[in-house]
Amino acid sequence: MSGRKRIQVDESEWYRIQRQARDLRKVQREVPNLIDAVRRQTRADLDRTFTRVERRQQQHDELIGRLSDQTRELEQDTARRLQQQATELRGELAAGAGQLREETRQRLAEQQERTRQAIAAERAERRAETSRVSARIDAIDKDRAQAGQLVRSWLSDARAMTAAIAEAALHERYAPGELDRLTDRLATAEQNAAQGRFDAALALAQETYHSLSELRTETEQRELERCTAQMAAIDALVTVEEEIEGNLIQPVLGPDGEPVDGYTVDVGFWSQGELDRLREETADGLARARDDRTGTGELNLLREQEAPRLEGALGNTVGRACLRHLASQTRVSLADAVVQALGRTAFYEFVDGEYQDADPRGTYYAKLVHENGNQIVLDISQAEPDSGRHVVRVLSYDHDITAEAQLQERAAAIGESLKDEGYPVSGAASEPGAPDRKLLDIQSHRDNPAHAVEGGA
Amino acid sequence: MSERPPSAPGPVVERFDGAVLRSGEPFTILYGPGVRDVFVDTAYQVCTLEQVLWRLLRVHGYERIVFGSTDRPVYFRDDGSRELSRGRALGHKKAPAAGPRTMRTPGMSGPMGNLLVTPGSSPAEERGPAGPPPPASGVSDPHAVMTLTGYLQRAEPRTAVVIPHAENYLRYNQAPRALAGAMANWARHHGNGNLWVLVFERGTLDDVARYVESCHAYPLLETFVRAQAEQRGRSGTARIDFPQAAETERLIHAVRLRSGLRLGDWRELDTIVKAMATNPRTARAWKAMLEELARASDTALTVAAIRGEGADVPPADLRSPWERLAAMPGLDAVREHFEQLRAEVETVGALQAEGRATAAEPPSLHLVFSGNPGTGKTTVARLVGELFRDLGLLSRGHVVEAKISDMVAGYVGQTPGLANATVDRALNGVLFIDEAYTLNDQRDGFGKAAIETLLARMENDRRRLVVILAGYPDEMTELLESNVGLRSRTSVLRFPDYPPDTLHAIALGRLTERGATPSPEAGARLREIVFGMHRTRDKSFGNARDMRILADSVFQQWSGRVRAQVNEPVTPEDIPDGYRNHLPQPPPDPAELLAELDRYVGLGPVRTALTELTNRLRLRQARGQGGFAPPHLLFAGPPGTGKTTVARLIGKMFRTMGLLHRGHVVEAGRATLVGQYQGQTAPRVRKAFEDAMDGVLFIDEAYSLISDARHGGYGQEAIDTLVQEMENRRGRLVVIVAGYPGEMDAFLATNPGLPSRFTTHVPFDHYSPEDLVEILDRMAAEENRTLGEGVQERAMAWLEATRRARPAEFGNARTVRGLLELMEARMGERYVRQGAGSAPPSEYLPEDVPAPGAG
Repeated sequence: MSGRKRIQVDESEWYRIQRQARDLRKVQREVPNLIDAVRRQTRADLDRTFTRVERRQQQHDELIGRLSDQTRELEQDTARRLQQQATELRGELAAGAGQLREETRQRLAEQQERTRQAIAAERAERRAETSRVSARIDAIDKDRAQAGQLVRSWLSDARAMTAAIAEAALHERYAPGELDRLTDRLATAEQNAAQGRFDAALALAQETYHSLSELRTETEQRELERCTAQMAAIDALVTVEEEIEGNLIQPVLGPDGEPVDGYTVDVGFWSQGELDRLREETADGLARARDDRTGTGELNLLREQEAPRLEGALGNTVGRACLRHLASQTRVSLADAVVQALGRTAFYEFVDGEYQDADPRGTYYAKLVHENGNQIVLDISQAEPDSGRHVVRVLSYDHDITAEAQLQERAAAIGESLKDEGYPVSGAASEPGAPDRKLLDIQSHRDNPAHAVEGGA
Repeated sequence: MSERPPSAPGPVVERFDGAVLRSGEPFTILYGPGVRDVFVDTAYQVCTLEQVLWRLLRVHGYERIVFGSTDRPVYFRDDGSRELSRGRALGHKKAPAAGPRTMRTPGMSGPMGNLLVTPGSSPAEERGPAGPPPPASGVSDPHAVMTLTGYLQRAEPRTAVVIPHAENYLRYNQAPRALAGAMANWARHHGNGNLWVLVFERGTLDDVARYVESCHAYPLLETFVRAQAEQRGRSGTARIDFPQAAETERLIHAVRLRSGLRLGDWRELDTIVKAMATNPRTARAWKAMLEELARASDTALTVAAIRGEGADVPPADLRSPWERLAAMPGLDAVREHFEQLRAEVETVGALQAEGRATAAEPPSLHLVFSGNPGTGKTTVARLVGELFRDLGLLSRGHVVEAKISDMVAGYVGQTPGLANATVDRALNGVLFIDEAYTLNDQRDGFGKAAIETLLARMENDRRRLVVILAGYPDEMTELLESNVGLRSRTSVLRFPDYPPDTLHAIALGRLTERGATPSPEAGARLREIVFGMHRTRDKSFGNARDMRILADSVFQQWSGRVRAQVNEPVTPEDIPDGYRNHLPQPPPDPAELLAELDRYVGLGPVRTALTELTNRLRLRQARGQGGFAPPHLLFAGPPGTGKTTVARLIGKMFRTMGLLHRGHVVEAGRATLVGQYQGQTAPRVRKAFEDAMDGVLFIDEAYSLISDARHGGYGQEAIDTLVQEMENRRGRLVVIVAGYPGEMDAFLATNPGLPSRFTTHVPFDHYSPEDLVEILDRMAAEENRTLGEGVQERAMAWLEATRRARPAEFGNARTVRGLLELMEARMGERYVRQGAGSAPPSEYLPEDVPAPGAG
């Protein structure tokens, strides 16, 4: 039966250019005030993170005040360096918010490493010095009381350091079991001291203290590292979040790639839920990034992989939404063209047109009537989802004749006329079956809209 | 020139009668030589048929007029019709404003409103409000047919579909099946006030029918056109002809006003218009010719210029047709007929002017010209066109002279088409069919078909066609008698043979016209010749035509004699020999005249009769009187008495005496005169008379004609016809009947008209024995033999004995010939007996004559 004619119309030039433009651009990053927005969003995170760092440093400073003379100097140097590092880091992170580039991150890492090495070198020197002092103590072994005093001083410092480490509670994360081991050794040193073996006790106490101090420095640095990674991840994901919001409304690009005045694309509507899912995923990632329990490795993954993935997905979603929007317009334009062609070549008149269930994302139906009562419904849909090719179905409802040959003639003539009109018609074929008479009721689409119309999504 | 009142407001074109648009037929077929022509309407606008048709349709109340052609399957000539056909639901799309391209379908909108995002073309939308409408491009034939028929089927708005180039449309339509179906459907269901007009370029409806048939695709249209072509009414069809006088005159004025054509002499305008209108040519061709004249700065429109174009302009004769008719001699009856018609037209005109006449059927104007050749039939026929045009009865008044081959075709079924085509050529003018009676004897009934076609057209086109049938009186009478339809539709005008005086005047006039001056003597001789020709005329006598031939041959001989000495008058010596036998011969000397008879033995009564006739003739000639009608003769006598021989001599003698023009003898008898079937006899007798004209019809054994009278044979019919023909052709021939005396009496008794016509009885008696011997002697002498001593006596004895023995078989001269043969046989026997070497004998001896009773 020739009442159903299927004509495939190839991708239009506009669509092709649009598609290529979307591919190249990935995502619209030139969101206005993106950096400010990201900075606003991440400031609290930065404050929260570094407030904790600073609080620990204060506590440490208090500790240093309680330390003996022989360790105070060492700790003061280390604390100063750590404080300096944290301050620099915070400043860098605050300054680079929303635009944390890889080189910044690299520079920060190198800086951290240098600080680490500087601290390590200083400590090695202190430890050597301590050893020399111990040797001197050996020399003055005859003064047992003085030796007992020295041992107790070291043990006290070590106890204080142990308490501080425990209070900071970073050790179990970065060096699990290390504090217990050192506490055991400290207990041994205390036993030695109690048993009056001051020489052995002193060496062990000194060694343990140094290990505790290193443990504290190490965990503090690792924590700083994590904070950096956390901020970077937060920064990246907030950027994505801001990009999502910034890309919600897209301009319509003309065939020349320039925005067409007066028209925008509601990406949320045209993405058909993709953008919402993207939002959720980004929020998930951000929650994990903000969660202090999240490890550096995972934070790095969030920054290195998840955020770019989300960005890419956002680009695709936006591109698809825009193309869907254009495709929807293309369907009507095609309908217009076919209507015009049928008007000119066959004297049909357009009487009504509507999208499936009044949703512009769906098939477009146009109804034409001939003066002799014959009717045609055009059914225009994409050949495949998110494809530039369209299928125009010409559904004829002829009353004047029923002769198959003549209906074929008319159908063939419609195909020819579309080709003559300049449409890249790549295939035309008859489809079996009689057209559904329900399709003649265009109004029903408006009466029973399936979705809220555009903009309400 | 009369101009019909326009049937509709606005300018009109006479040659397109809008009545065809009201036929009620499913199709309106226009055809003819004028369909591709231009028309000059009464507003002096030059327009095409399409424009004229559009205007007429509009006047007839068609709101939507839509056209369809091969190139433009559906198009409109006016915005109104287009508006009625497009955008009825949503209004017409306005011209697009500058800016982004937008969709053209109102009410269609997507997420970008009506922004157009596909490359679709927007053809020819831009046009000025006054410009011509854009063509609907790329209309497919299946949809065009669907659309046009869709328009036809809707009663509102009232629609006319016009196919201006029907030939191409039918031949090259891509949807012939749909078209054929649409036609069939329309033919069944038409009647909603809509109209389907097809315009063919063919010259005749028959050609249109043939063309449609040749397409093999539109059976219903085939049937329709064929039926219209053969039907009497032919409604729904109209032939668009060449322009008529009124339109031609407007054309001249249109070219004059627009292109500056100059008129040589305004007084010639009427003549020019008539000449142009009579010449079958399109207005387009005339327009081109006139514009050419207008372009050339030094030329003007003159009669000469029109004649140069081949138009038939009466040669320098500015007299009105009425004056020319009046000047024709011997046509009083004809003249009266036309004067009567003229009076009638005037009366009707006056009555109509006063509103007292109802629209009665116009009288039939068809004519039959009955007359012999050269009696002015053709000349008058040519005048008739002008006369009728002058009376306003015909719009063009041209004369189409048709031959039988223009009316009758060689194959079955073609005759009506051919005849119709010929009639079509003559529409608005005169169809002159000379020798029309031959339509009656065309084979296979083709002539009958032609007559039927002609009759139909004479009736249907009576307002714009005058048919003149011409021919010999008898044959035309026969034609009319055999066709009641013809008889009832024609007025018969008789063209009598010119009287000899008129003929003489015509001959002299012709000579004078050519510049020769006959001397009185030559004039007198010519008069005698003309009278002689007239007296001896037969059916082939050409009347005025023969006078022209006579004058021309005299002129030729005269010019050969006088060369440049044109002041020399024409003298009797300039009369060619061929005509001199019409001059009176010197009366023959009876002795000389009868010398012929001297060769024959006996014939005393014949001599007496001839001598009497000669003497009568001499007397009349001496008194300056003409000859007299030669008498019919009855020869009564037994066989072998020289009747046939004498009949032959009589012919010669009468010619010598000037009583017969030719003097030949046609012998006839029962076998040649009496037919075997009903109706054969009279024509045979007439044929014999025809053959014997100006000579002798010799009917030997005349009584044998009626030998079957008692058995219902046709002899009596032969006798009756004989009497009738003798009367009709009195003086033009001599009938000699011969036979045994007693049987001749019976013959004379069969018809009371016979005895009074055969007043001269010549008895042929039995030869006396002496005469017979004399005959024997002459017969022998003819063979260079002589009769020896005693032969005559012996021969006489033998003849006597023979007559006595077999009187009924005795044949007189023929018996003598038999005797001579017997004698020759005996002479031969004698010669053989003498032996070879002896001289052959030349003298009959008595022993050569058989004994009486022997042989």
